[in-house]
Amino acid sequence: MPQTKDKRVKLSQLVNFEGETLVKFNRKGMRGFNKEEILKILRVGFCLNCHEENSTIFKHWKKNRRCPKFPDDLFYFN
Amino acid sequence: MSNKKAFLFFLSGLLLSLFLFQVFGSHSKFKSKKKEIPVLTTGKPELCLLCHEEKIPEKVHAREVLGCSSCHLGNPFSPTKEVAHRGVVKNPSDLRVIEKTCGKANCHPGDVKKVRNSLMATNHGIIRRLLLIFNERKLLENFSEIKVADLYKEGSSLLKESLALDYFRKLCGSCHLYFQKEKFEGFLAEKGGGCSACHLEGKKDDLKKKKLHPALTKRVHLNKCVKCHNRSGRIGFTYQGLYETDQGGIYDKLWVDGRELLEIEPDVHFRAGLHCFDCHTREEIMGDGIYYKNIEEALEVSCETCHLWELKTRKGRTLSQIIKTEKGVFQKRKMDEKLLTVKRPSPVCQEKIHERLSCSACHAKYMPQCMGCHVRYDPRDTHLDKIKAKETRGLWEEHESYRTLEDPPLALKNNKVVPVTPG
Repeated sequence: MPQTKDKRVKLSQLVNFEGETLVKFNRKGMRGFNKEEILKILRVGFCLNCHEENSTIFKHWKKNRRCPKFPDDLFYFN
Repeated sequence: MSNKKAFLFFLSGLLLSLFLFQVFGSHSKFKSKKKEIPVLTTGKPELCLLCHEEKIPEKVHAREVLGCSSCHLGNPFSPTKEVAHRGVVKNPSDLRVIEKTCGKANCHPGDVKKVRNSLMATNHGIIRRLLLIFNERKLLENFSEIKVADLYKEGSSLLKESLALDYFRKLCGSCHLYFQKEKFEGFLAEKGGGCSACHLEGKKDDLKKKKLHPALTKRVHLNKCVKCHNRSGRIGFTYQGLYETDQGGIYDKLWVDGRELLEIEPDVHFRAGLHCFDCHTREEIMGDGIYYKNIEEALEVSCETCHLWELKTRKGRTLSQIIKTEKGVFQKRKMDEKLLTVKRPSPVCQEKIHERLSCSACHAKYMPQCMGCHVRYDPRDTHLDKIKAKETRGLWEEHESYRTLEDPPLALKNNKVVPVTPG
């Protein structure tokens, strides 16, 4: 897949990791994901990189709990 | 005369009349060689049948009931060709004449307004989008309900000078019901022509050699739809497991217009033997009378209609082919009336955390992604105008940018996550 000048932008990419819009739609009510949504998506399954499926940490999970090794701002590239 | 003789006379007279009735009665096999006036079941004379012996495949439109003139018009009361053929219509399903033919009072009158107002006949969304892209504001204001039929008339100079409409005539103008297929050759001769675009089946050879008139059918095969629905998002291709490649490389199949296609995994519904009309309702395809602005407004069926056992489309209509029994919900395939089980989604789909996801966000395996179209207009050359049916000045050429087939990107549409594709 060919790349544009900015190497981190794919041709079909709608938003960047900050949630900033790269592509506008010509239909009403449409938008790419915002920063909060992108963060939620990136966090799905991330735990399994280090923890086992049947680990006790997944039991009784509290909504606000985050991994102490990977705070939110580490999810962003610079 | 004695009683005996009188009785013998009476008996022989009776026998003679019985014999004559047997031989010359209407049920007798001894048909008179002299040509009688052909008459329809209504009692109306139909002199077309003196010369025309073509066989009609379907019972509902039988020769004896309709003759020729009920559909093809002309003059059924004259035995001479010149007079009989005055006013005859070669394609009775042309939308310009359907109120006299298919749409007659005791045939299909309700469909006249519905089909003429349907998107396949008006192409309103396509034309409007073109006018917006070319920024032809005056046309948008003066012709807010513009449709293809307007382009066939000797309209205003605004219509004649418009570049957007020239583009439409040359690149889009063959995929609508007003298209006059008799004026074109090759694959173009298979498109358009009113009702016959979808409902007519048969070969020209059969008509000439076997005198077999083409058949009109309710069972519209998906190949008919794909004759036109093979552009834009390429749904006609993707559904049956075909992909239009970058062109100029390896391919599995060549399309009628020369495009190179690869074979890919087809949709599960195609594999189950479902054609387009198994899900898409009559009102979506043939119109419901309302003049819709675009395809999104016209669509009503969704995954939920069948798979969530809702049975009603988003416009409140029930699908007659979905049958609910104590054993579950079944779909009756329209082509062969076979019953198929309608599966319910897995519990994962129904979880609260997934409620913003549309079915296709996860289940759409791939969508062709066209990154761009570069359009070039050359006033020095000519191009076949599909509405005027002749070459006119101004050649439009489209060059594609990159094209791939991958998992589609996801976006939000009114708070529902949906797959999107550029182009």
